[in-house]
Amino acid sequence: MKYIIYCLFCVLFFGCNYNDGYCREEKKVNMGVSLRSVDVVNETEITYSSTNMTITGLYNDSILYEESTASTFQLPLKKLEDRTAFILNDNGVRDTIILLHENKESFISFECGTFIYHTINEVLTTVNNIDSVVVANPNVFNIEETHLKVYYKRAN
Amino acid sequence: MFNRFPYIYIVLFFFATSALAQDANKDSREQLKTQNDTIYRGFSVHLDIFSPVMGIISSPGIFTMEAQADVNILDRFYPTIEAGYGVGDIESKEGAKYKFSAPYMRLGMNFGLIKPINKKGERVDVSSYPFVGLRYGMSFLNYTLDNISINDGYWNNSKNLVYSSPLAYCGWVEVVAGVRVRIAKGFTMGLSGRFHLLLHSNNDKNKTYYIPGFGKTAESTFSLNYTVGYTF
Repeated sequence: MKYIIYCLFCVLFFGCNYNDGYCREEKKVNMGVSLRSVDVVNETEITYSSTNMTITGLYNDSILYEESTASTFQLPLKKLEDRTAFILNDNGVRDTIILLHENKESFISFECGTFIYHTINEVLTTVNNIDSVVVANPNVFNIEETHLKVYYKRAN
Repeated sequence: MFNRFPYIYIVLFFFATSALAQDANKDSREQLKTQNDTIYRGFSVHLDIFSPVMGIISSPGIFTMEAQADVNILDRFYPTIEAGYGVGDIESKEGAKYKFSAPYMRLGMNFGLIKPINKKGERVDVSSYPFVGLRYGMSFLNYTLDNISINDGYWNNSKNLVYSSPLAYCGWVEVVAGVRVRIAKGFTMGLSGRFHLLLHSNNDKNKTYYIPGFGKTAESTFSLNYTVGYTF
C-alpha cells in the first residue's frame, strides 16, 4: 500500500507542472551605441551628450530616437539583409553610419521561434561631425552591451 | 505540461478497480497452487489507454497509441517491450506550426518489488505487484516546423522559416515506477510514472518539440501510463 501512496504522491506532485505556451525569452536583439568624444585638454575619452540628436534608418522616415541629452542608444540591425545604415542628425549636422554585418539564425524553441543574431564585420561613416567609429564588440546577441562607439569631433 | 484533471480521473478509476482486485486475488491463489516451478511464469499484453486520453485533454492536436508486452521470469523480472505510434499537428501562441508522425519503441525490464517466496519458504501470490524498471526508448521522427516568422519591425520586412526533417532519430532512457494489479480472471491493469532523460538526437533537439513516446523535449521529464490488458 505504501508503494501506491508513493506513486499517487508522485502523480499529484508532478501534475502541478504546467506550460502556458507563451515565450518568456527576451526577444530584442539590438546594437548598443555609445556616443563618445575626446577631451582635448586632458586627452581622455569622455561621454558625448548631444543637445539635440535625432536618429533614423536610411530610407526610413520613422524616428528611432529624438533625444536632447542622450548618449547611448539601442539600434535595430536588419535581420534579413546584411547592410544597415543609420542617419545621426546632431543639431542639424547629418552623418551616415553604414554597418556591414552577418545575420545568424538561432532557433530557440517552438514557443519563441527563431532569433537573429548579428556579427558586425565593417563600419563606414561620413565625417561631418563624427570623427571616427569603433566596433567595441562585433557580436550582437543582446541589448545589454555597447557594440559600437561613435566618436564626435568635439565635446559639448 | 499536464493539467491536474486527468490525474483525478485516473486516481478515482484506480481506487474503483482496486475493489475488483480483492476478488481477483482469490482466483490467483487457486492458480498459484497449480503453477509449476519454471523460469517462465507467463506473459502479459497491455494497451495504454491513458496516452490517447491525455492527448485529447491536455495536448490538443497530439494523438498517441501504445501497446506493451512483458514476460514473467521467476515472478520477479519482467522483460518488457512497448511500441506505439504518434501523430500531431499543433500551433504555438505565436502561430508556429509543428507537425509530426513517428513510431516509437521502448525496451527494458521491470523488477517486481514483492519477493515471490516468503520467509517460511512458501510461494507468494504476486499477480498484483509494485515494480520499478528501466527503459531505453527510441523514435524515428518525421517532423515539419512551419510558419516560424521573422519580423523586422522597424525595417518593414518579414519572412517565414520552415524547418523539417524526414528522419530524426531520438533516443532516451526512462526510469519507471508503478503497480500492476489483477482486476479479474486474467485481466490486469497497470499504472506507472516515468522520468525521461533525452540521451541523443541526430537533430537540433529544440526543433523536435514533441517526440512521441517521450513527450515535450523542452520540459517533459515525467509522464504517466495507465494500461489494461490480459496476463496469460
